[in-house]
Amino acid sequence: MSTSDLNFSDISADAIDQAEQYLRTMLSEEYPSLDAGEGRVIRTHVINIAAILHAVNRQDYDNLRRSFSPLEIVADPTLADPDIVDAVYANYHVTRSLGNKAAGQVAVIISDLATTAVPNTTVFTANGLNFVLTQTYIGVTTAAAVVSSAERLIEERADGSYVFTVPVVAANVGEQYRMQRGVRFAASPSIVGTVDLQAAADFEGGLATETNAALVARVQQGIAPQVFSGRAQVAAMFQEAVPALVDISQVGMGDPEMLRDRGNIFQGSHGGKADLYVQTQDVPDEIKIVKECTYVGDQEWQFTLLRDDAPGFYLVTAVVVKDTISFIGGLSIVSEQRAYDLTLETDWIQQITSIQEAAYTRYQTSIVKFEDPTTPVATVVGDKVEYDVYVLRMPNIKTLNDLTIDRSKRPEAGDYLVKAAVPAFTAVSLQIHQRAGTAAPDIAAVKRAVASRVNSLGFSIGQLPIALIIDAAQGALELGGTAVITPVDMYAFIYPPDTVPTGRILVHDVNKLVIPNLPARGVTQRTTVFYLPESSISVAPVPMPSLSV
Amino acid sequence: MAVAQTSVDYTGRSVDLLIFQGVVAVGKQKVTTGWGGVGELCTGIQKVAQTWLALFLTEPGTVLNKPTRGSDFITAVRRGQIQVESDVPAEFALAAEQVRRTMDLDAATESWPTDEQLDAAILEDFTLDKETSFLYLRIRILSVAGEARVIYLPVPTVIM
Repeated sequence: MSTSDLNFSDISADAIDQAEQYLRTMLSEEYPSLDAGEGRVIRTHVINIAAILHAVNRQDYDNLRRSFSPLEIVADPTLADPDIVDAVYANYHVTRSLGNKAAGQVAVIISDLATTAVPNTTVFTANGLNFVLTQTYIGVTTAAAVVSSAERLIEERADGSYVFTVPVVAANVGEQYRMQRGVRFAASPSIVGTVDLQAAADFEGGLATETNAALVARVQQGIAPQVFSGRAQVAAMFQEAVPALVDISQVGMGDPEMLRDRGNIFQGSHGGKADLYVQTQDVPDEIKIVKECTYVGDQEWQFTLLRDDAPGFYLVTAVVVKDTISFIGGLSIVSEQRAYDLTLETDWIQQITSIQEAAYTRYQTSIVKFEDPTTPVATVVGDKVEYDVYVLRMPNIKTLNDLTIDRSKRPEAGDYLVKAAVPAFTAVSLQIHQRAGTAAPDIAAVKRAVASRVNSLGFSIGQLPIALIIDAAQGALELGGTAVITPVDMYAFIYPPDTVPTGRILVHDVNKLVIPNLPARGVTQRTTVFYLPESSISVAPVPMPSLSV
Repeated sequence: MAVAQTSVDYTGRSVDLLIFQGVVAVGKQKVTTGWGGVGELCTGIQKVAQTWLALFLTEPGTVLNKPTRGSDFITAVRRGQIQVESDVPAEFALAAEQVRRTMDLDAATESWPTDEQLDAAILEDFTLDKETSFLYLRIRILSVAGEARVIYLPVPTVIM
């Protein structure tokens, strides 16, 4: 422990009593004529005070001694100073993730086409969380005025207002700062002429500093050799490659979800293959890709989402005219056909024989057709125009899959394929009953707590009981206030690998959402994860009348 | 405050630190609280007197890990509960009883000689000076052995 953070209230009365008796006995033996009885000055003003300090020192010493013991740290992860825990677990090749700050673009929507300054002292706030600028930015009206990264070109929007973006960085580390596209911000001091402030796209980064408890949970991975072998070893290797990895589920020989090793005449498992489902962050994020689209007639356009555009992506969430900032909805997607691309990158590639097997892997591709009603009449088939495409994906799927095809790392006799976890996009509605006269509940904190609890489940239980929601929400409410939370409504859309992006499964219940056991479709507890972004949580405070007593 | 009368022989006695400096064997002398330059000792009835005074002037709850030690006298003074002469004996009696009980409990767990055990604390006289906002108490401390000491205790108070 680098410095003691104990205070007197941390020391038990028993510990002080014991120290007091110890000191009294020691002094009396050394000085028999000393009257150290209760109430005497030497007792009250010297021994008692010394006993308290002695007890604090003993507790400090005891904490320090226990902090160097992995056994004690496991028993109580809150016990030790992080510096000591880091030192202890460094011996097991486990290093604490220090986290990072989320960053993204805020769209500044203004009413008039006018040069607009955003000073570097501006603080943007969303959901009670602060974001800052790294420099002063100026929205300028002409492209010629953009001479450095500080000048941001103002563009006109369809509704006649204007918009430019400024990059912001979270004030602190943590997942809660990863804002989704469309989240509204407030600025302080306010920006002249502002109509609205929104996240222009999903923020990236944002990882909390690893706690002692999380570090302890990774010890087995630290000890395990990072090779393709048993489940612990593979998990260790993936955690090393992607520290933000939330969970991994490894499906192999004999598991009903393993379909790739049944490609024989008897359709029996012959082993040698493993599907590694991963959750690499709490919820998927949405990224923007500029795609060159080809006109196919009838105001319809088409593009192909290549395997490197958004490896392992889940869904195409929006297609909009290029450089459209801050929008709701998007152009209508007419059709989407998933496929896969098995072009060799190294000397070997996994065996994939169907779209279902390729779903959510880095080899997945998609042909997307959409309608743009603003297509000029003069457009002819084959014309090409760039559009902005927004895609929902779990990051780092390619990073992890690259390990499985690297000749120096991959197992000689095994075929490991990395897949993003099958998504169960979840939404929750709950009511907080607020007694008259009590402080208003912190809705943002409630949403954060509920999302954090659900998104940390990983593949662990395969169900989402109402108790988890209520417990998380209740924990974010102040004690003594009114916090009866009911009723809770929950539903989830699961996108099975065999029918993605259509044919989703709706799971709806007020007590418990359960992932269906459909191994032939690739949907079971071992493959599927609940994702609950804060934007999918609805919290309604409801006044609760109460009688005075 | 002042402690009057004489001291006792220290031979074969257990001693405590003396925190009332300036005590003389005979006569009146202004006494101040402190540890003394070299650390002075006391025994016998002097121990009883300083223990009683320390408890009498200590507000319960102000000593870490000993929340019941003390009396409510200073609390009453601070809160302005002593406004007229008739308030003084009542508040004193209440506080003195708290101190007596505490000292009786202490004595029950120790093997103190009778001249180091409290028998009673008697309010012999008092003056409530409304002009200077001072309360002057004259208290007689009696040990179980029958020895007595008189303490003069000035207490700044709030009189409205």
